[in-house]
Amino acid sequence: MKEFPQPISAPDHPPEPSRESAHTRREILEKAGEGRRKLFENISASRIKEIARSRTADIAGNLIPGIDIPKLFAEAWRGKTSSGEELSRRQRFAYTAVAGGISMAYALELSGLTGGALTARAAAGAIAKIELGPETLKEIAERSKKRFPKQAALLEKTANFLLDKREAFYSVFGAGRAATEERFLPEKRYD
Amino acid sequence: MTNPTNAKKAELAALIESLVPLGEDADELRFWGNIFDDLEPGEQDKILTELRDELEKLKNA
Repeated sequence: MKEFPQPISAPDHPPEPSRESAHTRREILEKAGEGRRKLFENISASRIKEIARSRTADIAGNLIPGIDIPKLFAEAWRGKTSSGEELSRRQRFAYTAVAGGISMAYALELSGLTGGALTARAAAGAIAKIELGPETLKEIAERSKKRFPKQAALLEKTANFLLDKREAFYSVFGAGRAATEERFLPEKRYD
Repeated sequence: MTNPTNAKKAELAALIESLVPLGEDADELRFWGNIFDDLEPGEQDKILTELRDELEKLKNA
């Protein structure tokens, strides 16, 4: 009787792909992943613009740059964390989802404020809440269901996806907070 | 008559099932499946087109 393990090259196993074919497949997967990251970024930006458009024009102007969306997405596109760690293809999508989730949560959290109440302090409060983690994104989605059902549904599912991706969450959040503080809250530091 | 949204969802499920064994991330594709109903029709078409193209290329690689 033959002993286990059987050799992987047994005749009933499919042939291993050639090195060239494996390389081509990796390239296809990379390119496709990039397309989906861009799509999710566009979807998030579109939902945030809809929230902003529901408010006055001066608020819209403040709300969208307030979260510094390009900076939030920067780690996923650069393929590295702010500390220089290389991200895998799978991690890069998680980072994109974190950036989209945080952006939407921030916009929803500030959307309940009137023009006069939208201050640096209010923005700091929203940032501090979101910092707690994906569970907070779910709470924000729950609170926003009546006013922004479409955005809330997407945020809730994004938060569920992120529940076991805390490392990505805190990495992206840290980079986004630093950029936001630098631009909008120069005198507000939390650490 | 077939509901176009149901037809799209069925196609998405089939694409996911075919792509995962070819190396795609099951977790990410499941996420796209979960949010599919929350996407605009144009966004739904875009993700379907991207996955369809990817599968075609992977099959020919």
